[in-house]
Amino acid sequence: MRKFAIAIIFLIATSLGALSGEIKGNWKFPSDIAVSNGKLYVVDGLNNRIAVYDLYGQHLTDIKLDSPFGIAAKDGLLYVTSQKGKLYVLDETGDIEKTFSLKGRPIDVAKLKDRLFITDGKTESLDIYDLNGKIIKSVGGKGSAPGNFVGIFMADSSKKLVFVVDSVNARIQEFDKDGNYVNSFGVFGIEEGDLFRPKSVAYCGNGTVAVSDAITGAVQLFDIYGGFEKVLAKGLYYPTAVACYKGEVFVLEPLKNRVLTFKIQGVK
Amino acid sequence: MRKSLLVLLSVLIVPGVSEAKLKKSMKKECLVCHENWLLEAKVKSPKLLTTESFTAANRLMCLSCHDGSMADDRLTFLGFKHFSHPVDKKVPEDFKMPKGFPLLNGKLYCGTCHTPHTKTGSEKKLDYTFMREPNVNSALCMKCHKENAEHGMNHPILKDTKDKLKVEYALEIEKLGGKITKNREVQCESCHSPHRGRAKKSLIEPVDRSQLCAVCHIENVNSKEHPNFRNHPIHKKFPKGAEISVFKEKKAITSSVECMTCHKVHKEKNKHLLVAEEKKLCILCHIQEKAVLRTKHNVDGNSCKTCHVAHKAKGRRLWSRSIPEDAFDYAALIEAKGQTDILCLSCHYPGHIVDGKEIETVGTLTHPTGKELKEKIKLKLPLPGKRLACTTCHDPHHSFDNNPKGKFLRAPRLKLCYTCHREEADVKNGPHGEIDKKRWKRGDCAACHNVHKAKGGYLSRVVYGETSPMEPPVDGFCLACHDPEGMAKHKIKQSVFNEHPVGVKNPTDKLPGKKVSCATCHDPHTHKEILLRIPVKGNSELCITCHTDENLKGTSHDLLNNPDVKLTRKQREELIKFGNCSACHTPHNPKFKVLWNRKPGKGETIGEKLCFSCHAKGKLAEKKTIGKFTHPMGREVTEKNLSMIENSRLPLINQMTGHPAKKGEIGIMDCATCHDPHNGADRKRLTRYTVEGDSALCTACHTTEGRVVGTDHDMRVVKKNFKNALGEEVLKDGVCSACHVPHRAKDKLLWATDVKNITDNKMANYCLTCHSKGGVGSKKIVKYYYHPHSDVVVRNFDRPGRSGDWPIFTKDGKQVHVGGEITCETCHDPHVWSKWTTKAPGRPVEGNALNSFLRNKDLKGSICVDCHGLDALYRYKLFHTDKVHHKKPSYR
Repeated sequence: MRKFAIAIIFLIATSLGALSGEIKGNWKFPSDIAVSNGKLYVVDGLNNRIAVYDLYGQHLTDIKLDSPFGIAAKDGLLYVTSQKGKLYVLDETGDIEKTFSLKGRPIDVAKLKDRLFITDGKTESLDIYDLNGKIIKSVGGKGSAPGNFVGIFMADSSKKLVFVVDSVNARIQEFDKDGNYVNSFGVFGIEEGDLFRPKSVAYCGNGTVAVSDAITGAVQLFDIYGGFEKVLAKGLYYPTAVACYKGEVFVLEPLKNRVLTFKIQGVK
Repeated sequence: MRKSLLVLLSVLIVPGVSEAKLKKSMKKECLVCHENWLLEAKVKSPKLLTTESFTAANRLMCLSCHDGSMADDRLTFLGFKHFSHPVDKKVPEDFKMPKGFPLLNGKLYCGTCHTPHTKTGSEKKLDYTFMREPNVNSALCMKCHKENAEHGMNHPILKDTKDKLKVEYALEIEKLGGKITKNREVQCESCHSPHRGRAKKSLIEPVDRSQLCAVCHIENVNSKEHPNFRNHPIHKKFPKGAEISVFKEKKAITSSVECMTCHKVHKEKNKHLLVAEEKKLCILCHIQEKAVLRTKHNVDGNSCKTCHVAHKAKGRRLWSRSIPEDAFDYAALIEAKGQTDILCLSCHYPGHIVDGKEIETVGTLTHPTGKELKEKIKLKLPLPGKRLACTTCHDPHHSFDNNPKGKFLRAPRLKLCYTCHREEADVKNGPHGEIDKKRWKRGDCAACHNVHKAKGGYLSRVVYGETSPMEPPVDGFCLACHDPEGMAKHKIKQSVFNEHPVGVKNPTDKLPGKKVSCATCHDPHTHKEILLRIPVKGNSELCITCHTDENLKGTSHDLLNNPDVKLTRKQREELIKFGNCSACHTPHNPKFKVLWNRKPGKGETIGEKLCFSCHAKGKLAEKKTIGKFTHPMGREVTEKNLSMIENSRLPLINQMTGHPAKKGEIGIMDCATCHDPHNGADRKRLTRYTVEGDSALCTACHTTEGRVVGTDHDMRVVKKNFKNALGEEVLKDGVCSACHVPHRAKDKLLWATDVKNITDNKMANYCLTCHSKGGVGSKKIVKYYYHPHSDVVVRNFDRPGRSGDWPIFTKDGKQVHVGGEITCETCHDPHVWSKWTTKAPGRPVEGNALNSFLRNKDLKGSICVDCHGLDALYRYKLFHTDKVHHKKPSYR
C-alpha cells in the first residue's frame, strides 16, 4: 500500500515537471498574469480587478478595473487590455496614468520599445499603437498563411521581437518592432515539441520562449527560432497564461484558481 | 464574434459535409477538435504530452476557443457548474430523446445540442452557436421540453404573448441576457439562458425572491421595493399553520411567499398556473379564513374570490368587487369613516340585491367607525389605520365560534362591547343592568342599544315615539322607557312644572354633551346611586358643576352647616343623601317653578311663594320671617321706584319663570331683587350687595338717602356702638340699620327703633325720638319744634313763584300736598347734610343755614312765605327758639 502511494506521488511529481510552488487565489476564470518587481499580477477580469500578490503568494492588493483581460508589465508600468476596447496604463500601485480606446476586440498587449502590440480577436490581427494610443498599423488577418491568425490570443516580447499565439493554427508567430513577420514555429500535434492549442507565450531571456498548451496540459520551452528545448511541465489542467521572471516560469491554471511556478534550469 | 466563428468554421469544416456524412479523418482541420482521433493514432508514442482523450464536444475543447480567443464565453463555462443547462447528466430512462440529439454514454453533453457540423451544411444557415438545429423561437428547446411549452399549462410564449410584452420589459429581459423573438414575443430563452443563467434552471434571474417574475409582472407585485397594495404581498413569511407541505409537494417556493409560491410556470393544469385549485389555494395559508367557505360570504361558491383577488385589486385588502356609487353615498350617509369600511359597504348598501335577496345593511344609525381609541384595549382587535372600522368587530370570514350563521363577530357580543366600553360594563351592577329578565341577560347592551339599525341617538334600540324628535336625542332614548306606558313607568315625569331644562347649552366640559340632556347628569351605565355622573351627596357637587355661582357653601342656606337651622334627623339624612341643593330644588317632578322641591308658601310674588316655604311661621326658617312691616314688593313698588331698581342693576324678577327678568321681560321687585338665595355678596344675609358699612344694597336704589354717609346721622360718626331696637349694630349691619330695617320693621317706614310719642305727628316723633332727652341725639335736643296746624290748612301746591322743597305730612307720616302738617321733615332731609356740598363732613360739626340737613337755603317761593310773608324769614331763622313760638297765631 505504501509503495503504491509513493509511486502515485512520484508519478504526480514527474508529471508536473519541476513543480516548485503555487499561488492560489479566489478568482473567477482569470485570463492573464504578469510578474514584475517581485509582484504577481493576476487578471481577474470577471471580478473587474487585477489581484496583486507577492511571490510568496501573499495577497497585497486589488486594482479595480472594468473587465481587464490581458496584461504586460514593462518598465515599471502595467499595460492592461479590456475586451471592451480599452487599454489602461497604470503604475505599479494601480493608479491609472493613461487610458486609450482600441479598435476591435483587444485581447492582450506586448510592449516593444515605444510601441504597443495589441492582439485583436475581432480582426485576427496584430495592431500596433504608439505610446499615446495612436494606431500605427495593423498586421495579420484571418487565415493560416504565415502572418495570419486563427484564434489570435496572448502575446509577449523580447528586446527585438513580439511573440504572438496563433491558437487554432497551433503556432507562435514572431514580428519585429515594425510589425513585420519574422518567423513562426510550432508543429500541430500532441507529442513533445508539438503544439495543439497554444494559449500563451512568454519570453524568458537567453533566447528561450515558454509556451503553454491548454489541451495537452503542457508548458514547453523553445528557442526563438522554434527549436524545441524541453517540456517544462505537463499534466497541468488547462494551463493558459505564462510569464517569466528571474529564471522562473509562472503558469496560470484558471480553472484551478492557481498559478504554478517552475524553475527553468533544474528544480528550484 | 459571430463572424469570427464563421471564419473558424470555414477553416475547420468542409462545406457541404453534413453530420450524417461525417467520417473519421486525420486532416488537421478535423483534428483541431477531434484530439481523440489524433491520440488514437499516436497512442503508442513515448513522447505524448497527454494521454487524455478529448472528443470534439469535450467542454475543455470548446473552451479552448471560447476562453477569450475566438470568443469570451468564460461565464458560460463557469455556468456549467452552476446555472447552466445540465451536462454530464444521465437522461432518465423514461425520457425520450428526440432524434438527432445524441448522448454520450447515456448522458447529456455539449454535443447533444451543439455541433459544428450542420444538417444543411450551408454556412449561411448555421446557427451561430453551433446548435444542431436553429433555435429560432425556441424550436430547439422545445424538441426536448415540449411539455413545457404546451398552451394552457405553461407560461404563455410566442403567439400567446404577441403584443403583450411591453417594450421596456423586453429591453429589461435583453439586458439580463434573455432573448425575445423578432416579433417581441416571449420564448424559452426569455427566462432561461442555457449557459449564462444566474439562477437554478438556467434562469436569467433568480426566482426565490420573485426577481425574474417581477421583470415583466411588476404591476402584479407588492413588495418592499415595489409597494402596491393592489397585489398580494410577496417576500412574506408563511403564516403559522399554513399547509406548506402542499406547496413543497408542488416544488413551489416555501422559504417565503413569492410569485412562485402560488404560481407555477410549467406543466400546471390549474387556472393561472396556480399550484392548487383557485378555490383551495388561498386557504392553504389563510387557514383561519377557511371557515368562510361555510358562510354566506362564500357567494355562489366563489370562495375567497367572492371578495378578493390576488392581483390588480380594486381596493385595499385585495378587494375584487367594484364599489358602486350607491355604496359611496351610503358610506357618506352613515359617516362610515373606517379605512376598510367601503369594502364591506360595497355589498352591504341599501337596494343591493343578490340572488333575489336584498343584502342586509347597517341602517342609517349605526356604530361609528373611523374613530381612534383613547385607550389601549385588552382584546386584540384589528384597527385599520389605528381607527375603528367594520372589521374591528367583524371578521368577514367567520364568527368567533365558527357558527356559519353567525354575525361574523370576532368575540361574543357582550365581550366585544365591553372591550372598548369598559366603563359602561358597570351597567351590570346598576339598575339598568337588568332591563327585562326574560329577554336579556344582565348587562346586555342590546337591551337598550342596536349596534346597527338603531332607532335613535346613542344607538338606541327604542325611542320615545316612532321617531325621536328630541334634541338632544338621548332624551328620546330615556323617555322611551321613562314614560307612563314605558318600562320605567315608576320613574317618569309627573309634575306640571318644568323639569330641569335639556337642550340648552352645556356650560361645562366636565359633563358630556354640547347640550344638556339626561345623559349630561346621568350615566345610565353606572351602578352608582341615582345613576349620577357626579355625586350629589352632601354638597351637591353635581349641581354646582354647572351652577358654579350657586354654591351654598358658607351661606346661611347651607342648611347642613347652619347651626341656626334645626333639622329633624330625617330631614338631615335626606339632605345629606340628595345634597344641600335638594333642600329647595329637585331636577325632576318639582312642586313648583324653578324646580322647587318644597311646598310653596303663601305670598303674592313668586319670591314670596318660594321663600315662604321656609321663611314662615312653623317652617324651617320661622325665625327669619319678614315681619309685618317689610320693604315693599311687587305691585307696591311704583313705576318710579322700579326705574331706581333698574338703575341699581339689581334684578327685577320675572314672575312667570321666577328668574331675574331678561331684557324685554316684565319683572317686579321681589325677594330675589335684593337676595341671591344661593350666595350673593353677603353670604350670611344672602344679599346681592353688602349691607355692612355703607349699606350698598340700600343705597343702590336709595341713592339720595345714601348721602347720609358721613353725616351726623351716620351713627358711625357720632356713636360707633349704636344698636337699633332690633339689636342690629351699625358697624355690622350698615349705616342704614341705625334707623331702618327691610324686614320686621317697627312701622311702614321700616323704622328700626321704637318711636317715642312726643308729638301727635309721626314724622316729628321719628326725629324727636333721638333728638329728645335720653335719645341718641340728646346733645341736640330740639325744644321748640312745633308748628301749629289745628286752625290752618297748609297747601303745597305749585303756584307762580313756587320754589324749593317743602314737603308736608299727615300725622301718620304720609306726604301730601293739602292738609299736611309742617313737621321736622318739611325743612330737614335727615339723609342729606347739605345739598350744596358734595362731601359729607365725616365728623360731628355745628351746622349752619347751608347744611344742617336743610332742604332749602332760603325761603323764596316757600310755603312759609305763603302764610308769613316777609315775616317768614324771621320765623324760619328762629324756628327752634321761643322767640317765634306764641299761642297767638302769627300768620296773616
